Amino acid sequence: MKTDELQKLWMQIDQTADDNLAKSLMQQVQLERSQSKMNQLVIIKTLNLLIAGGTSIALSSYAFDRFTQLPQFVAGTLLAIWMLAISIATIRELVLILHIDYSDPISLLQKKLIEIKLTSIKYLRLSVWILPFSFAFVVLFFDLIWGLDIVAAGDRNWMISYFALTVIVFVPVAIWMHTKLAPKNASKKWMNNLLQGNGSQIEEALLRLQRIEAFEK
Amino acid sequence: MKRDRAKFLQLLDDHQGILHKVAKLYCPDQDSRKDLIQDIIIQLWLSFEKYDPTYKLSTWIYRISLNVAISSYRKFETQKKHIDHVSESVLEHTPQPEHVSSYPEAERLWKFVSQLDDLNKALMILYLEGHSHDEIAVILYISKSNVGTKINRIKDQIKKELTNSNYEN
Repeated sequence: MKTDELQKLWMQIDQTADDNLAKSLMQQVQLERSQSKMNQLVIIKTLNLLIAGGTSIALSSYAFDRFTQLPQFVAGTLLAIWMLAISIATIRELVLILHIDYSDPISLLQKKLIEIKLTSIKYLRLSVWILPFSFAFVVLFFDLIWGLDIVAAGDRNWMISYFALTVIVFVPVAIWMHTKLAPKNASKKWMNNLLQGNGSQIEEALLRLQRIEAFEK
Repeated sequence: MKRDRAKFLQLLDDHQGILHKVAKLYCPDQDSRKDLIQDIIIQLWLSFEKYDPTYKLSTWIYRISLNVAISSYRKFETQKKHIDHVSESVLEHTPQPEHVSSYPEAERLWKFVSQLDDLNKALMILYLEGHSHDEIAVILYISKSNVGTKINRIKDQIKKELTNSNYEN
Protein backbone atom coordinates (compact mmCIF):
# COMPACT_ATOMS: atom_id res chain seq x y z
CA MET A 1 0.00 0.00 0.00
CA LYS A 2 1.40 3.38 -0.99
CA THR A 3 2.12 6.11 1.51
CA ASP A 4 -0.20 8.64 -0.09
CA GLU A 5 -3.08 6.12 -0.14
CA LEU A 6 -2.67 5.50 3.57
CA GLN A 7 -2.35 9.19 4.34
CA LYS A 8 -5.47 9.89 2.31
CA LEU A 9 -7.37 7.30 4.35
CA TRP A 10 -5.97 8.86 7.52
CA MET A 11 -7.06 12.32 6.43
CA GLN A 12 -10.65 11.11 6.18
CA ILE A 13 -10.51 10.67 9.93
CA ASP A 14 -8.65 13.92 10.30
CA GLN A 15 -11.43 15.99 8.76
CA THR A 16 -13.97 14.83 11.31
CA ALA A 17 -11.87 14.77 14.46
CA ASP A 18 -11.96 18.45 15.40
CA ASP A 19 -14.37 19.95 17.87
CA ASN A 20 -14.13 22.54 20.59
CA LEU A 21 -13.35 20.21 23.47
CA ALA A 22 -9.73 21.35 23.80
CA LYS A 23 -10.72 24.99 24.03
CA SER A 24 -13.44 24.36 26.58
CA LEU A 25 -11.05 22.20 28.62
CA MET A 26 -8.52 24.97 28.38
CA GLN A 27 -10.92 27.28 30.21
CA GLN A 28 -11.14 24.76 33.07
CA VAL A 29 -7.39 24.24 33.40
CA GLN A 30 -5.80 26.54 35.93
CA LEU A 31 -2.63 27.11 34.02
CA GLU A 32 -0.99 29.23 36.66
CA ARG A 33 -1.34 26.43 39.19
CA SER A 34 -0.24 23.71 36.85
CA GLN A 35 3.39 23.89 37.88
CA SER A 36 2.69 23.51 41.60
CA LYS A 37 2.81 19.68 41.61
CA MET A 38 6.24 19.69 40.03
CA ASN A 39 7.41 22.45 42.36
CA GLN A 40 6.25 20.44 45.37
CA LEU A 41 8.34 17.47 44.28
CA VAL A 42 11.37 19.68 43.74
CA ILE A 43 10.89 21.25 47.20
CA ILE A 44 10.66 17.81 48.87
CA LYS A 45 13.77 16.56 47.09
CA THR A 46 15.66 19.78 47.89
CA LEU A 47 14.77 19.37 51.57
CA ASN A 48 15.99 15.75 51.44
CA LEU A 49 19.21 16.98 49.88
CA LEU A 50 19.68 19.68 52.51
CA ILE A 51 19.14 17.19 55.33
CA ALA A 52 21.43 14.52 53.83
CA GLY A 53 24.07 17.03 52.74
CA GLY A 54 23.95 18.87 56.07
CA THR A 55 24.29 15.62 58.01
CA SER A 56 27.21 14.59 55.82
CA ILE A 57 28.97 17.91 56.49
CA ALA A 58 28.27 17.66 60.25
CA LEU A 59 29.64 14.10 60.32
CA SER A 60 32.73 15.13 58.34
CA SER A 61 33.35 17.93 60.81
CA TYR A 62 32.87 15.46 63.69
CA ALA A 63 35.40 13.09 62.12
CA PHE A 64 37.86 15.92 61.46
CA ASP A 65 37.66 17.07 65.12
CA ARG A 66 38.44 13.53 66.30
CA PHE A 67 41.31 12.91 63.95
CA THR A 68 43.42 11.45 66.78
CA GLN A 69 40.65 9.21 68.15
CA LEU A 70 40.66 6.41 65.64
CA PRO A 71 37.29 4.69 66.40
CA GLN A 72 35.37 8.00 66.39
CA PHE A 73 37.22 9.23 63.32
CA VAL A 74 36.47 6.03 61.37
CA ALA A 75 32.83 5.96 62.54
CA GLY A 76 32.30 9.62 61.62
CA THR A 77 33.99 9.20 58.24
CA LEU A 78 31.99 6.08 57.33
CA LEU A 79 28.68 7.69 58.21
CA ALA A 80 29.68 10.92 56.41
CA ILE A 81 30.48 8.92 53.25
CA TRP A 82 27.16 7.10 53.55
CA MET A 83 25.24 10.37 53.85
CA LEU A 84 27.29 11.78 50.97
CA ALA A 85 26.23 8.82 48.79
CA ILE A 86 22.58 9.57 49.67
CA SER A 87 23.16 13.26 48.85
CA ILE A 88 24.67 12.37 45.47
CA ALA A 89 21.71 10.08 44.67
CA THR A 90 19.34 12.91 45.61
CA ILE A 91 21.25 15.43 43.47
CA ARG A 92 21.04 13.02 40.55
CA GLU A 93 17.30 12.61 41.07
CA LEU A 94 16.83 16.38 41.32
CA VAL A 95 18.80 16.95 38.13
CA LEU A 96 16.64 14.37 36.35
CA ILE A 97 13.43 15.97 37.63
CA LEU A 98 14.57 19.47 36.67
CA HIS A 99 15.54 18.27 33.20
CA ILE A 100 12.19 16.70 32.44
CA ASP A 101 11.11 18.34 29.24
CA TYR A 102 8.09 16.98 27.43
CA SER A 103 9.37 18.42 24.18
CA ASP A 104 12.35 16.05 24.33
CA PRO A 105 12.50 13.14 21.88
CA ILE A 106 10.07 10.43 22.95
CA SER A 107 12.42 7.52 23.83
CA LEU A 108 14.72 9.88 25.68
CA LEU A 109 12.01 11.41 27.86
CA GLN A 110 10.31 8.09 28.57
CA LYS A 111 13.63 6.65 29.76
CA LYS A 112 14.18 9.64 32.05
CA LEU A 113 10.71 9.21 33.55
CA ILE A 114 11.38 5.51 34.13
CA GLU A 115 14.75 6.28 35.73
CA ILE A 116 13.05 8.64 38.19
CA LYS A 117 10.57 5.90 39.03
CA LEU A 118 13.42 3.47 39.74
CA THR A 119 15.26 5.79 42.13
CA SER A 120 13.28 4.55 45.14
CA ILE A 121 15.04 1.20 44.74
CA LYS A 122 18.43 2.96 44.73
CA TYR A 123 17.58 4.56 48.09
CA LEU A 124 16.59 1.18 49.53
CA ARG A 125 19.89 -0.30 48.39
CA LEU A 126 21.82 2.62 49.84
CA SER A 127 20.14 2.15 53.22
CA VAL A 128 21.22 -1.51 53.25
CA TRP A 129 24.88 -0.63 52.68
CA ILE A 130 25.21 0.77 56.20
CA LEU A 131 24.26 -2.54 57.85
CA PRO A 132 27.83 -3.97 57.99
CA PHE A 133 28.98 -0.64 59.45
CA SER A 134 26.27 -0.42 62.09
CA PHE A 135 28.91 -0.36 64.83
CA ALA A 136 29.74 3.16 63.63
CA PHE A 137 26.33 4.25 64.98
CA VAL A 138 27.15 2.64 68.36
CA VAL A 139 30.49 4.47 68.54
CA LEU A 140 28.90 7.77 67.56
CA PHE A 141 25.96 7.33 69.94
CA PHE A 142 28.13 6.69 73.01
CA ASP A 143 30.49 9.52 72.13
CA LEU A 144 27.79 12.11 71.46
CA ILE A 145 25.49 11.21 74.38
CA TRP A 146 27.96 10.34 77.12
CA GLY A 147 31.30 11.41 75.65
CA LEU A 148 32.39 7.80 76.05
CA ASP A 149 34.83 5.93 73.84
CA ILE A 150 32.92 2.66 73.69
CA VAL A 151 35.78 0.85 71.97
CA ALA A 152 38.11 1.61 74.88
CA ALA A 153 35.55 1.33 77.66
CA GLY A 154 33.27 -1.41 76.33
CA ASP A 155 33.30 -5.04 77.32
CA ARG A 156 35.74 -6.90 75.11
CA ASN A 157 33.52 -10.02 74.80
CA TRP A 158 30.57 -7.87 73.78
CA MET A 159 32.65 -6.19 71.12
CA ILE A 160 33.99 -9.49 69.81
CA SER A 161 30.42 -10.81 69.70
CA TYR A 162 29.30 -7.69 67.80
CA PHE A 163 32.17 -8.07 65.36
CA ALA A 164 31.31 -11.77 64.85
CA LEU A 165 27.65 -10.86 64.39
CA THR A 166 28.65 -8.29 61.76
CA VAL A 167 30.81 -10.75 59.83
CA ILE A 168 28.48 -13.74 60.13
CA VAL A 169 25.11 -12.00 59.86
CA PHE A 170 25.19 -8.32 58.83
CA VAL A 171 27.63 -8.59 55.90
CA PRO A 172 25.90 -11.58 54.24
CA VAL A 173 22.47 -10.07 54.94
CA ALA A 174 23.55 -6.75 53.38
CA ILE A 175 24.93 -8.50 50.28
CA TRP A 176 21.82 -10.69 50.04
CA MET A 177 19.49 -7.72 50.47
CA HIS A 178 21.44 -5.67 47.93
CA THR A 179 20.97 -8.38 45.31
CA LYS A 180 17.34 -8.99 46.30
CA LEU A 181 16.51 -5.28 46.21
CA ALA A 182 16.68 -5.40 42.45
CA PRO A 183 14.07 -3.77 40.22
CA LYS A 184 13.11 -7.23 38.87
CA ASN A 185 11.74 -8.14 42.33
CA ALA A 186 9.61 -5.01 42.58
CA SER A 187 6.33 -6.89 42.26
CA LYS A 188 7.09 -9.26 45.16
CA LYS A 189 4.98 -8.62 48.23
CA TRP A 190 7.83 -7.84 50.65
CA MET A 191 9.45 -5.49 48.15
CA ASN A 192 6.12 -3.87 47.40
CA ASN A 193 5.71 -3.20 51.15
CA LEU A 194 9.21 -1.69 51.31
CA LEU A 195 8.34 0.51 48.35
CA GLN A 196 5.13 1.61 50.07
CA GLY A 197 2.89 -0.04 47.52
CA ASN A 198 4.75 1.24 44.45
CA GLY A 199 6.12 -2.17 43.47
CA SER A 200 3.73 -2.75 40.60
CA GLN A 201 4.52 0.69 39.17
CA ILE A 202 8.21 -0.12 39.22
CA GLU A 203 7.63 -3.49 37.59
CA GLU A 204 5.57 -1.74 34.92
CA ALA A 205 8.34 0.85 34.48
CA LEU A 206 10.87 -1.94 33.92
CA LEU A 207 8.69 -3.62 31.33
CA ARG A 208 8.31 -0.27 29.58
CA LEU A 209 12.06 0.24 29.65
CA GLN A 210 12.56 -3.16 28.00
CA ARG A 211 9.99 -2.25 25.35
CA ILE A 212 11.65 1.10 24.65
CA GLU A 213 15.06 -0.58 24.33
CA ALA A 214 13.60 -3.19 21.98
CA PHE A 215 11.95 -0.41 19.97
CA GLU A 216 15.26 1.45 19.63
CA LYS A 217 16.99 -1.59 18.09
CA MET B 1 8.66 32.46 23.42
CA LYS B 2 7.06 34.34 26.34
CA ARG B 3 4.05 32.70 27.91
CA ASP B 4 1.19 34.65 26.44
CA ARG B 5 -2.20 33.20 27.32
CA ALA B 6 -3.98 34.67 24.30
CA LYS B 7 -1.30 33.44 21.92
CA PHE B 8 -1.41 30.04 23.56
CA LEU B 9 -5.20 29.85 23.19
CA GLN B 10 -4.85 30.67 19.53
CA LEU B 11 -2.24 27.94 19.15
CA LEU B 12 -4.59 25.46 20.81
CA ASP B 13 -7.42 26.54 18.59
CA ASP B 14 -5.34 26.04 15.46
CA HIS B 15 -3.90 22.66 16.46
CA GLN B 16 -6.52 21.04 18.66
CA GLY B 17 -7.01 18.31 16.04
CA ILE B 18 -3.60 16.91 17.05
CA LEU B 19 -4.62 16.74 20.70
CA HIS B 20 -7.87 14.98 19.86
CA LYS B 21 -6.25 12.47 17.58
CA VAL B 22 -3.53 11.54 20.06
CA ALA B 23 -5.98 11.39 22.95
CA LYS B 24 -8.47 9.23 21.04
CA LEU B 25 -5.77 6.80 19.99
CA TYR B 26 -4.20 6.48 23.42
CA CYS B 27 -7.24 6.68 25.60
CA PRO B 28 -10.29 4.58 24.86
CA ASP B 29 -12.50 5.97 27.58
CA GLN B 30 -14.11 9.33 26.80
CA ASP B 31 -13.99 10.70 30.37
CA SER B 32 -10.34 9.74 30.82
CA ARG B 33 -9.65 11.26 27.43
CA LYS B 34 -10.62 14.68 28.77
CA ASP B 35 -8.07 14.18 31.55
CA LEU B 36 -5.44 13.27 29.00
CA ILE B 37 -6.20 16.34 26.87
CA GLN B 38 -5.97 18.49 30.00
CA ASP B 39 -2.60 16.92 30.87
CA ILE B 40 -1.40 17.65 27.35
CA ILE B 41 -2.61 21.26 27.55
CA ILE B 42 -0.78 21.72 30.87
CA GLN B 43 2.48 20.36 29.45
CA LEU B 44 2.12 22.47 26.31
CA TRP B 45 1.64 25.52 28.51
CA LEU B 46 4.62 24.67 30.72
CA SER B 47 6.82 24.12 27.67
CA PHE B 48 5.46 27.06 25.69
CA GLU B 49 8.22 29.38 26.92
CA LYS B 50 10.89 27.01 25.64
CA TYR B 51 9.38 26.60 22.19
CA ASP B 52 11.94 27.24 19.49
CA PRO B 53 10.16 28.87 16.51
CA THR B 54 12.75 27.48 14.09
CA TYR B 55 10.98 24.13 14.49
CA LYS B 56 7.55 23.39 13.07
CA LEU B 57 4.88 24.13 15.67
CA SER B 58 2.86 21.04 14.80
CA THR B 59 5.94 18.83 15.29
CA TRP B 60 6.52 20.38 18.71
CA ILE B 61 2.87 19.80 19.65
CA TYR B 62 3.02 16.19 18.45
CA ARG B 63 6.17 15.59 20.45
CA ILE B 64 4.64 16.88 23.69
CA SER B 65 1.23 15.28 23.11
CA LEU B 66 2.76 11.88 22.39
CA ASN B 67 5.13 12.11 25.34
CA VAL B 68 2.25 12.93 27.70
CA ALA B 69 0.02 10.23 26.23
CA ILE B 70 2.73 7.56 26.45
CA SER B 71 3.74 8.49 29.99
CA SER B 72 0.09 8.52 31.07
CA TYR B 73 -0.46 5.15 29.43
CA ARG B 74 -0.33 3.23 32.71
CA LYS B 75 -2.89 5.49 34.37
CA PHE B 76 -5.32 5.08 31.50
CA GLU B 77 -4.63 1.37 31.17
CA THR B 78 -5.57 0.96 34.84
CA GLN B 79 -8.76 2.91 34.26
CA LYS B 80 -9.47 0.79 31.20
CA LYS B 81 -9.03 -2.39 33.25
CA HIS B 82 -11.48 -1.00 35.77
CA ILE B 83 -14.01 -0.27 33.04
CA ASP B 84 -13.43 -3.75 31.59
CA HIS B 85 -14.14 -5.21 34.97
CA VAL B 86 -17.30 -3.19 35.56
CA SER B 87 -19.03 -3.80 32.27
CA GLU B 88 -17.03 -6.14 30.16
CA SER B 89 -19.87 -7.14 27.91
CA VAL B 90 -21.27 -3.67 27.36
CA LEU B 91 -18.33 -1.55 26.36
CA GLU B 92 -16.27 -1.69 23.23
CA HIS B 93 -12.68 -1.18 24.36
CA THR B 94 -11.04 -0.36 21.09
CA PRO B 95 -10.96 3.40 20.65
CA GLN B 96 -13.32 4.25 17.86
CA PRO B 97 -13.10 7.25 15.60
CA GLU B 98 -16.48 8.65 16.46
CA HIS B 99 -17.41 10.06 13.06
CA VAL B 100 -15.79 7.90 10.44
CA SER B 101 -18.37 5.19 9.92
CA SER B 102 -18.93 6.56 6.41
CA TYR B 103 -15.31 5.63 5.64
CA PRO B 104 -15.07 1.92 6.50
CA GLU B 105 -11.48 1.57 5.28
CA ALA B 106 -10.40 4.60 7.26
CA GLU B 107 -12.17 3.14 10.27
CA ARG B 108 -10.24 -0.12 9.90
CA LEU B 109 -6.99 1.77 9.55
CA TRP B 110 -7.80 3.74 12.70
CA LYS B 111 -8.66 0.56 14.57
CA PHE B 112 -5.43 -1.08 13.47
CA VAL B 113 -3.27 1.87 14.53
CA SER B 114 -5.07 2.15 17.88
CA GLN B 115 -4.21 -1.47 18.63
CA LEU B 116 -0.47 -1.00 18.13
CA ASP B 117 1.74 -0.64 21.21
CA ASP B 118 2.32 2.91 22.45
CA LEU B 119 5.63 3.52 20.62
CA ASN B 120 4.64 2.00 17.29
CA LYS B 121 1.40 3.93 17.56
CA ALA B 122 3.40 7.17 17.90
CA LEU B 123 5.51 6.15 14.90
CA MET B 124 2.45 5.50 12.75
CA ILE B 125 0.65 8.69 13.79
CA LEU B 126 3.68 10.72 12.75
CA TYR B 127 4.02 8.79 9.49
CA LEU B 128 0.36 9.09 8.58
CA GLU B 129 0.45 12.78 9.43
CA GLY B 130 3.05 13.19 6.71
CA HIS B 131 6.25 13.61 8.73
CA SER B 132 9.42 12.56 6.93
CA HIS B 133 11.51 9.62 8.13
CA ASP B 134 14.15 12.11 9.26
CA GLU B 135 11.65 14.04 11.36
CA ILE B 136 10.21 10.85 12.85
CA ALA B 137 13.71 9.63 13.70
CA VAL B 138 14.42 12.87 15.57
CA ILE B 139 11.07 12.91 17.38
CA LEU B 140 11.32 9.28 18.49
CA TYR B 141 15.10 9.28 19.01
CA ILE B 142 15.73 6.22 16.84
CA SER B 143 17.73 5.81 13.65
CA LYS B 144 16.26 6.73 10.26
CA SER B 145 16.80 3.18 8.97
CA ASN B 146 14.95 1.84 11.99
CA VAL B 147 12.05 4.17 11.19
CA GLY B 148 11.93 2.87 7.61
CA THR B 149 12.06 -0.78 8.66
CA LYS B 150 9.34 -0.40 11.26
CA ILE B 151 7.05 1.56 8.94
CA ASN B 152 7.41 -1.00 6.16
CA ARG B 153 6.67 -3.83 8.56
CA ILE B 154 3.55 -2.12 9.88
CA LYS B 155 2.44 -1.13 6.38
CA ASP B 156 2.57 -4.79 5.37
CA GLN B 157 0.38 -5.64 8.33
CA ILE B 158 -2.06 -2.86 7.43
CA LYS B 159 -2.21 -4.10 3.85
CA LYS B 160 -3.05 -7.61 5.08
CA GLU B 161 -5.59 -6.26 7.52
CA LEU B 162 -7.38 -4.15 4.91
CA THR B 163 -7.28 -6.93 2.30
CA ASN B 164 -8.69 -9.46 4.79
CA SER B 165 -11.44 -7.05 5.77
CA ASN B 166 -12.31 -6.45 2.13
CA TYR B 167 -12.66 -10.20 1.58
CA GLU B 168 -14.79 -10.54 4.70
CA ASN B 169 -17.11 -7.86 3.43
